[in-house]
Amino acid sequence: MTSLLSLLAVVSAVAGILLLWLVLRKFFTIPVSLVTTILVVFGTNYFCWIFFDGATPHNFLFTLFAAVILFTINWQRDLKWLWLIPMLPVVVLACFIHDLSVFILFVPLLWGIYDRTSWLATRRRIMEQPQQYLFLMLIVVLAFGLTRFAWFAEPGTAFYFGDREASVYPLIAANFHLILFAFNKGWFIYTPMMMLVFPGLYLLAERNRTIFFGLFFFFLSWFLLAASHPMWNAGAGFGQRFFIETYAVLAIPLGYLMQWIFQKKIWIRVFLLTLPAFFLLLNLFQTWQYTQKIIVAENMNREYYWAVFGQCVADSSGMNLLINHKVVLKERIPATGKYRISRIAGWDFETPATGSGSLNDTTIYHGGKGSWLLSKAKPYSPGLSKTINAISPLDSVWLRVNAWLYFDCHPDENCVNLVFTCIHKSAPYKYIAHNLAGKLKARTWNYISFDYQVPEYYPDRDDELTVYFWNSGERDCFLDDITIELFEPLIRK
Amino acid sequence: MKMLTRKQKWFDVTFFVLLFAGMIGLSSSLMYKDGKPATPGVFFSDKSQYYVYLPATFIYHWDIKTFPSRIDTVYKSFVLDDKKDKLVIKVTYGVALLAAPFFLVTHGIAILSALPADGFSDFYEKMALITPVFYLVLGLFFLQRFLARYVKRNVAYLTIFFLLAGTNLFHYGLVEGWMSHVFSFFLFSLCLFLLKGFLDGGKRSYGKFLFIALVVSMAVLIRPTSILLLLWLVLLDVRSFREVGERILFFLRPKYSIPFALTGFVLFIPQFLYWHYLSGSYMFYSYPGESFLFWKNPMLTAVWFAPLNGLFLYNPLVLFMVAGIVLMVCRRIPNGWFLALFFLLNSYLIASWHAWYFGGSYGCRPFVEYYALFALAFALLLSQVVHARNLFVRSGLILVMLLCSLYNLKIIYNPLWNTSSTWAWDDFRNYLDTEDIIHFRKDSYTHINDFENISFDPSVNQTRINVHSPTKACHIFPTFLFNCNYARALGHSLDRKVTRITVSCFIDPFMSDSSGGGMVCSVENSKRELLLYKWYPFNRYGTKQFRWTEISASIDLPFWMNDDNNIFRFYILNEKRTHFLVDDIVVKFK
Repeated sequence: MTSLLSLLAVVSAVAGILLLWLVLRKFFTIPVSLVTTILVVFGTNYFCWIFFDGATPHNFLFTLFAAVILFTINWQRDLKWLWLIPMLPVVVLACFIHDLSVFILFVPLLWGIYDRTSWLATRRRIMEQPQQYLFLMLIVVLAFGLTRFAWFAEPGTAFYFGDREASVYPLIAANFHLILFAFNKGWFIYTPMMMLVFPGLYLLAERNRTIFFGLFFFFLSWFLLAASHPMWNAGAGFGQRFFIETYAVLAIPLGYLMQWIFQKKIWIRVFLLTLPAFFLLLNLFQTWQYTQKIIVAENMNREYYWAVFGQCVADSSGMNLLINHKVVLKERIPATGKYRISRIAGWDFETPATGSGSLNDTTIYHGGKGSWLLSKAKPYSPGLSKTINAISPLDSVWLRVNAWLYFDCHPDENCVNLVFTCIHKSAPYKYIAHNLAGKLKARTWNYISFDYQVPEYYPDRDDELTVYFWNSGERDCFLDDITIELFEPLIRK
Repeated sequence: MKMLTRKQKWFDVTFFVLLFAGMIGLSSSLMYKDGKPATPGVFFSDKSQYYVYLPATFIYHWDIKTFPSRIDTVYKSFVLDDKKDKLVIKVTYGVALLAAPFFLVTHGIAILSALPADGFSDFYEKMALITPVFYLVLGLFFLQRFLARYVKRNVAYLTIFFLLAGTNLFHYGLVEGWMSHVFSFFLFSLCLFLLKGFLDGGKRSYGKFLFIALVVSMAVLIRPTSILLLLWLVLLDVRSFREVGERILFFLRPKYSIPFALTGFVLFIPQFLYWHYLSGSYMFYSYPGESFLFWKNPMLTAVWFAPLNGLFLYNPLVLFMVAGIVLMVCRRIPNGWFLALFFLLNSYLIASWHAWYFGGSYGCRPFVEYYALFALAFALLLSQVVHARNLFVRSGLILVMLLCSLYNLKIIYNPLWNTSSTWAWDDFRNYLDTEDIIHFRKDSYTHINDFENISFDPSVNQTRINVHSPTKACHIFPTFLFNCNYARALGHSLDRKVTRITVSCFIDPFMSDSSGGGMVCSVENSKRELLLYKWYPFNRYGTKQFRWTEISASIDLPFWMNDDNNIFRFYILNEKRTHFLVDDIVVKFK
């Protein structure tokens, strides 16, 4: 299955690049199209995502978007069903991959409309070919409507990403500067080539008004929603993932900039091309840095970025910069990842001798006949305490702790914490305490599950990692059936 | 002048009636949540001063003994002075005059419906929402008519949309409508509309002139600084200094100047009578201790850019008004210099006022009424934008304007009572972040107390005797042992754990070289157990009489002290119970 997906990813990437070339050739000469294609493929993080993480939605969406643009151009040229019908499966498939893909329909919908005269011309075309435009509306309805099934699955959310927390858009691009300029995942920091799209949009508006609004509104809607998304940094990876598929569209304004440059005298042309050339080389070098884990997949910061800028190795002082700036958020094992799962610790509290100071209770239990009492006098549970190396020699490993809790006080008074921490020479780092106060129900067994990523950069592999429950309050709480699972990434051989 | 067609007139009427209905709905939703007041009240604080003239005149007939008991303590602004048997109101009666018809209708309904007809009941508060909204919409109507003389009708409509959605006019129309600003805005818009009609008409209508005189006098009555409107009569649409001279001579003719002065005088008679009732004198300055204190060194930068109610920071759309003014000046469009002059003059007046930040307000509120004038610059800019040939420039600029409006509305819908200092950027950043308006990374947090803003800490006595910056310091009296108290949970400061805290302040022990005081930093856990206590006596830093000395210290927090719930405290300990001055306290979390 994995091999098939990889094969599909390769096919998609090749098709995407080919379609991009065909689209660009509709507007530009061969040299301009060639340079633009090279800049998009090798000068942006699309390169990293197709060559090193090919089987991702971005790769497929890039191809599908390029196809929609090509079909639109051909359809608008001679208004033949031949080009309109394939748009339906392409758009619907894109929408199922990522429901924001519905915005690509701005391209055919707004094609040729930019003022009153052009609107009247479009209206005439609609009158001439009402069935085709009705079919286009059908595509809109299906593309939008089918993805709304998610709405029924998760009522109250306008856009659904399988995560209620991440589905709420604050409707203003509250993260606009972070998504562009943050050293964690800033688009212009890791893909500066795309800054050239903006002068390109100016030139596009000057030279080809017919397609301007379709492209502009597509990009605008995509950008505003991406910048409003609570998870704007879009998880691990190189650069800003949110925009990769949009490069299929943004290649056109970039092409107009190249066209403008190619119309200049040779020495001006060479001078102006140094900037995209620099961005291209920078992208290739940073992609290499990413593959060598010099640029890390998550939690980059300004200090670390500049410490490793242009470097072929990352020293320990650089790594400390990463650790010191680690942003501790609620961690989750990525749903898209493939892992080998093994149980590395567990306590069912069936035998009285479990842990220090036998505190097993046989009156309340979840499974079997015993549980563990967390009280003010004995606030800590038995837990995991191993070196990072002993847990797993691999990188990017996760722990998942599952347990059952029972208490009869008010939920706010139940001050039990699940603590994860790494310790280097008695000093803790990446300390996370999940406070459960107010989050559980009284007088019933509550199931909890929390994830913790073992730090990818640590001072020493012999640092100790500990996991335990801690009752910091006055009231008793019972614990039962604790399991700690290890998630090790499956490595392709 | 092009006359409106019947269809356009109907459109205007329908649009503004619908706008009025919509604004009433919005105002109610902002002021009341689930039928209960969402704010301290429609008349709370200063707003009650403008309003209280009405119940005092029509219900209580200025007999303060008949007022509801201790009603002044509810609204915390006007005073029922039992000793002198007077109702003390700082502001003038102009707003009350404009609102009187609405009040009388409300009072009539209350009597007929057997509701409590005391002028302060819930019914009066709810009905009072209508008055400012009415004047807001009417002001926008006249402004649209005025702008349509300079730009196309659709641009004029777009301008009033942006003005409403993108500036604090929205807030002062719908949320704090009973402040004077929306009433002044209406009068300013009406004045511009009438003046344009008066100046453009072939034969200048005398009736229109008298109406202008009434409107200007009314505006001055509401806010004395509106006397500047007289300059509008002289400067609107002039193209040369010669025209200015001609216009002055025109309005100085007895036919115009005497009725103008008489109108103003007649309108002020009730005010003179009130001042006589209050002080025994017909002329009375009702703002004791408040003046244009900074006329020599106005706080212009702060008025425009400070997180403490800075004009541009809260109303970024005003930047487009400024851009419009610049465009008008550069392209020699008439009124360019006039608008530039007024922008600077108004900024200067605000920046010279002793409380330049107009405490407890949203954005820079004295600008609200002047938007009527600056809307002209915005409209001309917008006209250029919507007719820009390049679609990207056109769409991009309109998009930025829309985002500015959205930003403004987000702030209004997540109200902020700004208690921070002049340049407390991090507090403003945290506010934007918390309210999901703009998210930021919080790698460090700096708390600043420059003692400029209103303080609710009883130990803080603001003084202007000797200041470090910008206009106030804190006078430490022997009364309090613990002064300038500040506390913050360590978990609320940064995206990560706090590892270092640096503190600093400036001291002037003006009684002698030694103040005997000191700076205290402590960390305590959630059970209030002390984890860290550091005492920095000022004497150790070589303080000198009448000289500001910086006291600074840095604390590295050990990891075990770094719990999110632990609280960092800072205060000035006046151990010897002496007098000294403190200014510019800075606490930085890293």
